[in-house]
Amino acid sequence: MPLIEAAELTKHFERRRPPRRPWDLLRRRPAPETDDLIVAVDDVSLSVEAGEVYGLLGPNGAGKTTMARMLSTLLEPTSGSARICGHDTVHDGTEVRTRIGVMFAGERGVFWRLTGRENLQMFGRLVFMDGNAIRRRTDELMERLGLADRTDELVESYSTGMKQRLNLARTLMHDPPVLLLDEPTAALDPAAARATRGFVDELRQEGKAILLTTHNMHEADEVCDRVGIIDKGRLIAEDRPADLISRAGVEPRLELMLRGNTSAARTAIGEAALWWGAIESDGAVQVAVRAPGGWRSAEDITQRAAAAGAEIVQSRLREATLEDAYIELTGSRLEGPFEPV
Amino acid sequence: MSRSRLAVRLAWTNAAATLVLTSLSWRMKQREPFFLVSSAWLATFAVLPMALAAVALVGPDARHIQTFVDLAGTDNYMAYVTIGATAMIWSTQTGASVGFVLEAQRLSGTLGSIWLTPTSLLARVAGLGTSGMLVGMARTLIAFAVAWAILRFPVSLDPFPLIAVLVASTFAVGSFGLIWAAVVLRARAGMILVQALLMGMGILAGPAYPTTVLPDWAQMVGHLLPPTWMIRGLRATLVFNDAAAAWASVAALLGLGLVFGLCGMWLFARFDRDARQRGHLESF
Repeated sequence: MPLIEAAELTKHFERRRPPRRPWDLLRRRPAPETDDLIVAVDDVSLSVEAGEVYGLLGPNGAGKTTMARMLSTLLEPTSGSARICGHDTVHDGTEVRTRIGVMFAGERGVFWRLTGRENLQMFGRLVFMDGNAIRRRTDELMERLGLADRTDELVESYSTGMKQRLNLARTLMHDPPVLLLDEPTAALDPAAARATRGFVDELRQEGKAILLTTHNMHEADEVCDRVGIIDKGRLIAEDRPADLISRAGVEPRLELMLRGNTSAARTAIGEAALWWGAIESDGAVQVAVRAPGGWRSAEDITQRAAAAGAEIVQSRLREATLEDAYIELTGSRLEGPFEPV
Repeated sequence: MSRSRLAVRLAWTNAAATLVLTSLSWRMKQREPFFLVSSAWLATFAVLPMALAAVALVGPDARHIQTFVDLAGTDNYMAYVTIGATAMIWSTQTGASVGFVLEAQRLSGTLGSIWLTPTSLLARVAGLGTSGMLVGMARTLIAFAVAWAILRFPVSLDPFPLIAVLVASTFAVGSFGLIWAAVVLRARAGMILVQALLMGMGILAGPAYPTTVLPDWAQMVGHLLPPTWMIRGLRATLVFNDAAAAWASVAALLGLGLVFGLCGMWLFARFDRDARQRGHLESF
């Protein structure tokens, strides 16, 4: 049985406009017109098994956090239903909250005027743990997350990465079978982000069902067993990362940095290959083209550019990535220098 | 496990969570630099102007006191006014600490993590609000002691009714604060709305004057407010030495506390659900 199940989840928000009169805030408002609604999540169904990391991928405003909030009971869906370990998130909120650990992006989550230990003591009590269990679990988690030597210091003296790790410890305090992690590596430096991804992997091996939202393609590719791409509230594709790439039919990409007669080179390249994008900077031109035949196509394209009078400063053949699949599927991009053409 | 044992266990775990939340919230307040010292000053500075205004109004040697005696039934105007002022500080602190419970957590970025625990709504609100109530109590007692040390007015001390009035007042005003917390959540308004309500309540409770100077309708509304009975109860025991009147205030406070507590919980739970539907829980 999946530990996280969402069936046709939909969430509409009313557009927020300033009230005309102060007392309008206290009055029961009529049902909003269709024009007054924003569809944040539209008919999304998904499931996550124990020991699986499911990545919800999408740009800002795609509906990822709204999904996480609905699964966590902080937000009620407009229609559809969600179940955590078989418990309905709307009608059985207390049961759901005993079984989930939730970490939202951009939220402190812990009290800065308390020490790490005091924070975990407080949240341990709030999830109904007894004193002995709290002490044991605090020591274990602080050790595991590399905070053991800072346990009794005020959180306000922690670095951003340490605060994030403490927040993760809070999330794991009661050893919940389900974790909802909303952009857990946002605002972390690369080393801290890598450490967090490693920890997520350990949690998967412990058998937890993890829903992780991110707009970081590399993270999704590295950590997630399955990925759902959400765009404008709709789940437009869902599969294992490798299968998603092959299903999207994306091809390897040749990236060249050219100097010299770049305009003639661009024309020559355009005759031989499909453009991906181009950017100019400091007298050089960076181009990216599709190279369906891999190295063979890359060599052909590079030779044409050189023959047209361009100096090849740098060339790189990139295998198709999840990001390419994302662009193919959504027609937009998340990050990276090249604008598709 | 039987249903009743499960209910007892749940009540116990919620109570334990409330206690820990209270004690650690109190610890956080203590760690704010100069918090307690500044709190005591603040309360004292709020009480003294009222007492000094009373001194000015009765004139040198209390020459113009007769009107006050006719209305208030005592010539101990210093104790009368100081008790009213400290009681108002207490009740506004207590009410505000519950009323602002969501706002405070939202500002500190911990609302989501607290609200996502399985503790009951009452345990969360009580746990987060009680430390503020304790601070209010400490502030008020210090302010009263300082005012008494400066002004040296006579008070009578009958401990049992006094303690009963204080406990019943805390319960009633805290319960009343739940309604404010619900209104804050529903109206998505914060400090300014609650402050306006508190100031309005201050006028109707008669902190520096007998409520008989107010219009009839205002006196009727005032009877529904816990601070009115708190001030009456404290004056009954400290100024008039009237235990019967003090116990009557205790009864009124307990009744109001029960009604407001039940209404507050019902409203808060309803508006909490409404906020979860509209997505306003963390952005009011």
